[in-house]
Amino acid sequence: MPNLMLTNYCNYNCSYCFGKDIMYPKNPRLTMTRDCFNGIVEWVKKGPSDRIFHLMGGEPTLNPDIEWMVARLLEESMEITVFSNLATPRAVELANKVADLPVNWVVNVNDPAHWNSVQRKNITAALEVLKEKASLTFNVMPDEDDNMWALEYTQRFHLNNNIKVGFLLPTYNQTNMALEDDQYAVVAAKVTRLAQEAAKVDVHLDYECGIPTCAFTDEQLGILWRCGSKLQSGCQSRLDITPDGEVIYCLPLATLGSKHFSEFESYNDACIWFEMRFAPYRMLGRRIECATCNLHNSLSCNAGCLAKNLIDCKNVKL
Amino acid sequence: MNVLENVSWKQLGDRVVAVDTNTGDYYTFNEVASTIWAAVCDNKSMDEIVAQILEEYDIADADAVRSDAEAQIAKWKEMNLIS
Repeated sequence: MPNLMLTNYCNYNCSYCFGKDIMYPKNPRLTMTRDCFNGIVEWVKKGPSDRIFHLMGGEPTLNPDIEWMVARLLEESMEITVFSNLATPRAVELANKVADLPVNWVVNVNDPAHWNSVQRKNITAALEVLKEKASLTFNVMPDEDDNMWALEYTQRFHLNNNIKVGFLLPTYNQTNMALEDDQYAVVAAKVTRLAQEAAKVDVHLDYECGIPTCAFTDEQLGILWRCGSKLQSGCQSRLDITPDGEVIYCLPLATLGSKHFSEFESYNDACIWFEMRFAPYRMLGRRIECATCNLHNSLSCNAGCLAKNLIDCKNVKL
Repeated sequence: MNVLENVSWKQLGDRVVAVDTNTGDYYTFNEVASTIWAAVCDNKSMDEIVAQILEEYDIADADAVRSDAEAQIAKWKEMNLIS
């Protein structure tokens, strides 16, 4: 099922945000209405698919109707995951209200060293009530200290013991900060060290999409495997829907094309439509070695982020 | 000569990779073919393409280069990559 973007507004303005191409303030501020939300829920129910909704933003708790939307999905017995930075008062409020309900939270955070006092207060207050319902996710920066704080927070607040890490990846329009090619190895080494330390406290790493397998050495891949943090080099599994009901393949590729959800018979039809259009481009790969790479050719590796791979590509269109 | 609209491509190092988005057929060109492809995309004439190959690869036989380049371009036309 889709990722619903409840608003394109965020209380942060992270330079690396991979949604920047369609985020406020570079674009008009959008907030998903109850009518649009209801329409999407009914549309999703038409087709066979899992019953999981991801509510994201921007910062989704800045949509004033999020509580109503969560209740609406619970009425339908849908599973809900909220992707939030937890730094808004509304996030703390909602966390308290739904802590005992089947609502999971993926908490997008930066290194706590960068939090201000208000952010710290809100985030910690929400984590205290969410506990194992919340899991941390963050980008591993090439120029910051190792991310041992994530292990400390996971233990201190009894959070879900799966942490999701990502690489800084560009949007198709390159409006955000992203890794240079020579920084991939630096970040891969940091991820490997984090996985080793995490394993000691029974925490494991998951991976955001767009990480190419060859960013890691064979030795590092072996270490990740032994730590229970085996690399999954995927790219995209769910479609995103913007606050005005436009279906996009993913946030970094949002400006390449979209169609309103009502133009598709069902969510599954939308998935097929987008996959068929993007599948040929996946072949192009990230490096010339991808052409003869067994992992790429067996679809075990998608050659990293499709948006990154399409940036220098000519004649790209949906 | 023009690359057809259904063909998407990119330069990876000294090579060009291309894909026919209608069929999903995928191509990697060798270094010289990649040079010819880039020249075609830059709307260079056959004379200009031959001159470029002679200079970049330090080749003396212009007739052979022209013949090979024309054959390559004819093949791409057959493959519906260019018109």
